[in-house]
Amino acid sequence: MIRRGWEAARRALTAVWWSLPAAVLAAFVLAGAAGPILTAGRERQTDLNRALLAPGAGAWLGTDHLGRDELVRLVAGARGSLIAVGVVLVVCLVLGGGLGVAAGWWGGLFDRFMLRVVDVVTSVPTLLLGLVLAGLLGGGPWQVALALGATLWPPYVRVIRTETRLRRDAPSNQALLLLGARPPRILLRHVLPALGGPVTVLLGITAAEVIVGVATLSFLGLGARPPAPEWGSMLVESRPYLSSAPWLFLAPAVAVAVVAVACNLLADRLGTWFTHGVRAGAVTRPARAVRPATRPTVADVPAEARLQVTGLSVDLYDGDGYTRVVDGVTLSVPAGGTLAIVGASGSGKTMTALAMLDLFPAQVSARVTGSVRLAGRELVGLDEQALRRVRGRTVAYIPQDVGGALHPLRRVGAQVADVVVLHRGLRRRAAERRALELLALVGIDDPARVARQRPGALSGGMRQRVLLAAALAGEPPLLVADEPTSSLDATAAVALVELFGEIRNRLNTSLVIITHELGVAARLADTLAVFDQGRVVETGDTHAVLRAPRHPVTRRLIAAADLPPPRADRDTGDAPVLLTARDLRLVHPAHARRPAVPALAGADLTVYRGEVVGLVGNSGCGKSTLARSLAGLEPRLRGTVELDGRPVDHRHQRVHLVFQDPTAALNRRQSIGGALAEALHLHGVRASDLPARRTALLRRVGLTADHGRRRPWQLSGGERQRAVIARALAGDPDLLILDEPVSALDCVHRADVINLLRSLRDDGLAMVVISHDLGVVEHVADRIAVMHSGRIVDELRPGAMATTARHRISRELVAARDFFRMDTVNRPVSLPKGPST
Amino acid sequence: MVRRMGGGPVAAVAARLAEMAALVLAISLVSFGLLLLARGDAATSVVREQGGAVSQARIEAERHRLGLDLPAPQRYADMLTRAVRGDLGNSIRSGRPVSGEIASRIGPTVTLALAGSVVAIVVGLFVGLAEAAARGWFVPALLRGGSLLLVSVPGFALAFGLVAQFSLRLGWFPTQGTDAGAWSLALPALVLGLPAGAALGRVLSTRLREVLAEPYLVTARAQGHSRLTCLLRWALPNATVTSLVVAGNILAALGTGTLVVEEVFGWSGLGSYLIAALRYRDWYPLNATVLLLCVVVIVVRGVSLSLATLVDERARSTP
Repeated sequence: MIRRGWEAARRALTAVWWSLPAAVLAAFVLAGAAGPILTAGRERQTDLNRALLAPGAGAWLGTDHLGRDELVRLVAGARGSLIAVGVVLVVCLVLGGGLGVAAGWWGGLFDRFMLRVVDVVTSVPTLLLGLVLAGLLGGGPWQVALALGATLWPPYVRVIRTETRLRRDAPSNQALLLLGARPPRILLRHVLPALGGPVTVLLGITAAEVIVGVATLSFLGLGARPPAPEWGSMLVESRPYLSSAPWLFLAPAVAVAVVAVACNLLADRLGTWFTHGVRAGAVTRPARAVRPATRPTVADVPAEARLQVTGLSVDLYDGDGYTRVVDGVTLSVPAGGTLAIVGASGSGKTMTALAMLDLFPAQVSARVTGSVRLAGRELVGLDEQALRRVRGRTVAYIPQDVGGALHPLRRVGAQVADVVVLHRGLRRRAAERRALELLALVGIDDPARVARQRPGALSGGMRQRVLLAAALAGEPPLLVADEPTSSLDATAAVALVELFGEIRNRLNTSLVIITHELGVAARLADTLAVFDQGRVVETGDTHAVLRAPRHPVTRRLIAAADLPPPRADRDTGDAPVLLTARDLRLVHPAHARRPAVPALAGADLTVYRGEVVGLVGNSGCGKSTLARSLAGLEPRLRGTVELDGRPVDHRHQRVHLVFQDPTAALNRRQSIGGALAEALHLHGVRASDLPARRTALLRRVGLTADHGRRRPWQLSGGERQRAVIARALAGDPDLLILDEPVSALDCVHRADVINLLRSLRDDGLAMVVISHDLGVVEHVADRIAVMHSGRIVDELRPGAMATTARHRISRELVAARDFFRMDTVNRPVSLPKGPST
Repeated sequence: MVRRMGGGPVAAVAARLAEMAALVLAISLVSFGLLLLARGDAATSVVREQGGAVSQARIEAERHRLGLDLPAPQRYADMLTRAVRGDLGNSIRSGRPVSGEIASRIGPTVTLALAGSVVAIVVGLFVGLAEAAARGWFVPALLRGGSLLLVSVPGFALAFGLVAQFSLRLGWFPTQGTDAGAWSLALPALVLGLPAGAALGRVLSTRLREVLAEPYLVTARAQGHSRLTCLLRWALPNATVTSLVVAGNILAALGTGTLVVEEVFGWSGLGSYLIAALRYRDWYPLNATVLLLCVVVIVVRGVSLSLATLVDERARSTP
């Protein structure tokens, strides 16, 4: 009951919070528009007998020194502000919006010219330009409005230009281009509607500026002059009576402030609503972990356990109530032992790790129950102060490196040294020497040079090593690493897994590895805990679990990691040639921050009809550029790409590209069904056939009609990727290029998408499948091209990769793939044991 | 803005300076163009001031005497060549050289702008950090609401309010003039600096909250750093980089903010000089003051932009 009452109160509060600024603005607009009718000229009626009356029954807000009613004048005064707001917003939208869209859309010379113009206008301070203009044009309401409009439009050009440019080049719109959409359609349907959010916020800020600006101009004697009723001039007139009749000052001051604040608030909320389609953040709860006083008693903690987690549960507050994301997890890690936590994404792996040290981000409100004992000491319920001494010293947690887990501006050596100072109490100089030792310990060859660099200059593998060095700085007996390999190239991942094994053996550190890669777990861990929906569904000796899984979730994970080999050699040898690319060269031009980079340096590729070509290589080798080139999306490309003997052109709609990031490839405001319908329409499917074709497409990729009604963000990563593939299929392409189609997915979704690609292959669709992981493409490809430094350097046959690999890169990739293969894990693990000291 | 590659810092600075010079030139053209659009000119003001019947013939004669009837391009070229030689022209109203008049009035304005900047930066840092660091909902809501209110009130209204409370009621500060030294500076500096500080604080706290949600803050906390270290060593530098350009704009606008504050407190600085020139259509002083204020804006913005680019570049590339 209490809960329901609280909910109702909360909803009512939210409603008021939303409607208050709207009501204020409505009153303002009404006063401005209908002012003359409401006041009927009384704002200029003077009556010296009634001068300086205090607020009361006769005059609600009192009267001024000439006996004029303050409330009436306040209502009449809204007019000038309203006219100015209206004119300025129109000027900003038309002038700023028009020029901004044009500059962003066309780019080039016009864009550069507009940026210069904006530079000039914004270099003249707003107030100064408005002042000079109003002073020169005269002080009538329309002149003031024009003066302010002329000063306030430049930010619109800049913001709208940037947003237009970003969206024009977004993968979602490039995909539409390949499907045959004409640029005006993309502009009107996909770019302009997306500008609503940022522009609304800007409009609110501008409206507030205008209201303040009108008053300021009046004050400086360049706008409305007394006796004209205007909020600014009313403020000026109130000045002699600041002490004797403060209401004369307060009424217009409050009016200006309230309307300006309301503009800001309403625009802010509308902008959020436009951008996210939800009333995000209307009511948030304080981010404070709530813990119960009672804890489960731990009966039988194994004496040798370094970490013992018992009955750990985590509930997250999501605005409506608590949701359980970790449910009664029990784990144990012995000294020197390694536990791997495996499971699909969203199964609660990371939440468990964060809960152990209460590391939830500030905006997350979590409730943690259960017990986490570390060398016999209970962590759940410790206050921040005590936890801080545990973090980094007793347990080091290495977060996932997605988006950068290192301070971007601080040299990495200093970041490692910071931890040394904190936990080992060394002086700065000594700590920096120790940091160099630590960097050397994690296998960095030239620690002195690397220590001086910032994370941006390092590769993913190097950053992961620096994170490890910082984690080791506090000499913790337990290390928790969250997905240490998932953003790395296959070869870098192998090196890192070997490093972890070496460190553990040398320092006798206990290790918890969180991963969705069973191969990583198999190589490192003695025990395995399989997570599903916040629970541990199976746990035990790694090799025993992998050999004889008992739980269906474990079996599904193993099946996903160990796909059966592709159907025996298909014969595509005498199929006609579909696509030939000869001597492709492309140099990405020099940019502000980097010199010219050659991305393609003479790449050749042939694809036969119905054939699937795998394309592998490490990051930065030019794979994505080659993909875009084959689709005809690289205007700077030199060399020839021919499809059936004709130069490839994206307008022919015969080659489609599935971009790397499925989230960016979809318009977040469009439902999946809507996106498919648009693609089909562009392909010339008649309106009457659309629903049936759309359903067929959804079914083809394993989605349901229900998925079709959802927006991209309401789908899982794997479902999104399938939707993107379905949209590409809508155009009935001759060749489908997929750029890293599974690298953002966990192993279960990865297997689903690979199986989908296999079935497309069986339908006879020609594809180029790009990945950094040989283990992915070998499942779908008839032939594998190895890329290195912008060139195809080797060609492998999926059945006999080890024997066909000739180039150094190919051999490395094959070795990396064998390292993580599931059929090797039951053999004795032969990790290097570190230097024999 | 500068998209050139290589050449090192000297070339970059030279390019930036050349760009600034071009900007100043463009602005001088704009401001000259605006004067051509104006209703009325100095000749009308002079005739009106001399008294007697205002006839078209008298205005024309005066216009000829002042050289205002010459073709606009010639007047612009004349002004430029003189300005290059350091001659900003003479005021029509007083007949004295503009450079001398500006020199005698620039002191109070500079003092005011600097004091206002100090207030703005202190208030901005405090509001931004306090809002990002505060727990619960009350303190952040209070700071957010307060800063939003401060940026939504016209500067002169804030001045009236502060004068009513602290000068008229409590008698702590003088209401007018510059005679009482630091005491007379206090209220003007607050009126100038508080809204700018509130604006800075709003930007900074937004950026800080963004940065606090970054993955590297989880790293910092996992390493055992205290909340204060996380905020000051990890969050603040990264938030400052993204706030720098906006901060430059806000601080640059203080230069013109002095106009209003000087008018309220009856200071005889550049602001009142500009407004008087504007009313009189006295266009040598007007042009010179407008350009001077624009140069300040360009320099402040240029510095903040260069700083932001420098830090940004450091974050991305090898040293």
